[in-house]
Amino acid sequence: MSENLLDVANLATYFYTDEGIIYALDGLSFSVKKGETLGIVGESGSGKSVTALSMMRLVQSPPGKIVSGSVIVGGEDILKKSKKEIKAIRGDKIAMIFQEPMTALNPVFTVGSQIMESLRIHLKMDKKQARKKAIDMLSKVGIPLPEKRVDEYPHQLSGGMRQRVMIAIALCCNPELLICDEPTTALDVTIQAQILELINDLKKEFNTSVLMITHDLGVIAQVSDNVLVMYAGKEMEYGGVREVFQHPLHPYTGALIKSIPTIGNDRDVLHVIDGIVPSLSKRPDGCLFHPRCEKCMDICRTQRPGLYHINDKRRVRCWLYCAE
Amino acid sequence: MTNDSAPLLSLRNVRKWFPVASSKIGERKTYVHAVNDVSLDIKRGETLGIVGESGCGKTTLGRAMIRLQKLTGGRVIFDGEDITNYNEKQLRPLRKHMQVIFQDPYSSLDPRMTVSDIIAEPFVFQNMYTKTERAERVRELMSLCGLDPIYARRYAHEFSGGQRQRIGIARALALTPQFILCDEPVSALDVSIQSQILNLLISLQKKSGLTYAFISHNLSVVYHISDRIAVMYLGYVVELAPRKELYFHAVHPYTKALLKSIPKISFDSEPIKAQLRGDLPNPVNLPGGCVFCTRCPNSKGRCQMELPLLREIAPGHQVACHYAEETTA
Repeated sequence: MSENLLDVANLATYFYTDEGIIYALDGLSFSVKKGETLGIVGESGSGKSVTALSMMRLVQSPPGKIVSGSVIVGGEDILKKSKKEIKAIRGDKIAMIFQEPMTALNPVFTVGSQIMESLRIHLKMDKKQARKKAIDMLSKVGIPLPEKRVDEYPHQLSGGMRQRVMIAIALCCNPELLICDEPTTALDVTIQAQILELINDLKKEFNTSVLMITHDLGVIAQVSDNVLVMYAGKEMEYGGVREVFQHPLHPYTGALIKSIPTIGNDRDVLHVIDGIVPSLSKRPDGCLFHPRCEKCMDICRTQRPGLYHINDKRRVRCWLYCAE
Repeated sequence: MTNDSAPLLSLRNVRKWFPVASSKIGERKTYVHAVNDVSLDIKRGETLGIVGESGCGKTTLGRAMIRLQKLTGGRVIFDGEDITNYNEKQLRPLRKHMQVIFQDPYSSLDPRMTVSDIIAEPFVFQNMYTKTERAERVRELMSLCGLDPIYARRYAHEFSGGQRQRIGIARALALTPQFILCDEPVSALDVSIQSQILNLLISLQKKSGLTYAFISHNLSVVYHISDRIAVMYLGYVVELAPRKELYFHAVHPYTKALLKSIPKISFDSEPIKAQLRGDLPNPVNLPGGCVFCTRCPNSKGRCQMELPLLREIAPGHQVACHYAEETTA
């Protein structure tokens, strides 16, 4: 038995559309230890949300299809489960927080009944117990007057409050793994700070493993232990969050960090990554990043680079680090 | 002729309230207090950044600035002319000098028009140039904004988000305006594209001496592009200062909280902590006294009674807080 809570190996999800096959996620492997937070960062179209959806088996099919890979949580492969078995895992072992707190909650049920639903299904609680636990969870996530709020509908709450309710639903069954897909993107900075602090605190209290998916490098820096940088459906770089941000190896990671405006930095011109993210149905030959790369070499144009291990905690997909 | 040191745009006690539909006949009318008594000047050639969280009235203030909206109170003076009560017909010739770049590069471009139609539309409204001159101008504008003029006959949906934003910028520049309102122009873009657009806006300003009002919720972006910055909270400007002064010597407790809430890519400081408890109060029923008193960590008795006015505490640095001197010390 390995000490990893989560082992994802060679996960690939393609979308079969009229325009051709979209390689949204192409052979991703990573693992997460118990109590660890892994940040997955990338721009739009990099495949980070598809990763989360594939792990929860929520990819709409057709057009989407998980074509290969395994997602092993606590020794069991999620991708081999039947529909019924997967339902029992979702919300119990693995829970997810979505980006849009406005649309992820059901508007016709009270907040309380939405928390109680998963308690009653997964923990077989009776109504009374579930209600008590729901109120308990609401106060844990910092909602004032939980006895009153439990009977309110989502539209009566602000965006930040709704995201807290989402977190309460996600954590009520004590999941081993919490997947957060852009949990603070729709929120204001002061509310974002509240939610990030809450996720950090709850993680410590419950020793939950967290997969934090976001495009915001600052959020990753504040909550993650390790970070995985994605581009066009592939892993570009992996390592400890401090090492990756302070000494990025992949030219993409470096350029991404340099292109963010920072306070106190008085360069007049921001660093620019030329061009745009490639179309995932007509991918360039060679390295997927080569058309935008400053350090592009001849080999980059023709051959796909492999993932090179710098040491046991650091991987990078770039010809610059090929040992031979 | 106005002299050059006079501000290009002045707002005096600008107020914009939106009536809330009341459910019962005879019920007292209530209002969303979107913008309250905002007075500020924008100098020629400068960029004024306007930051605040959602619902603070920054977009409404921007729209009031260029009279896309009627005001509830106050005055707008553009280039020495009081345009507060101008009607559409009177405003049209002025529109040449004031343009907008919108947040959403998807919904702000007509899907049934080609790029050249979109960029040339302002010429149609202003009755400028012949057909061939227009085509020539469109080509110029496209290359100025980093778009290949070959694509002039394509439709907006054929472009990526960043390129669409360039089309929006080209359209805003078409009439060579003096003033451009940039309403969250990079919020919908990825970081690598965001830097391309910010660089473009800065280089255009250098080339033609444009004046910008730059609205954003992203404090780092606003710091990068602005000369002076106004911080808004619940429709009020709570602090206004040159950018360095604002970021390194912030006085208002809200500005301080906002700055500390930015997740930074640094590992020396403490992990992120919530700076403010609670949510934004409802803009229909504003709190009495200082609008920030419900969330302010230093709130005292006076704050609940009396609304603090924006006052100058250092040259060019204005703050609306009763205890500004104490927090600076």
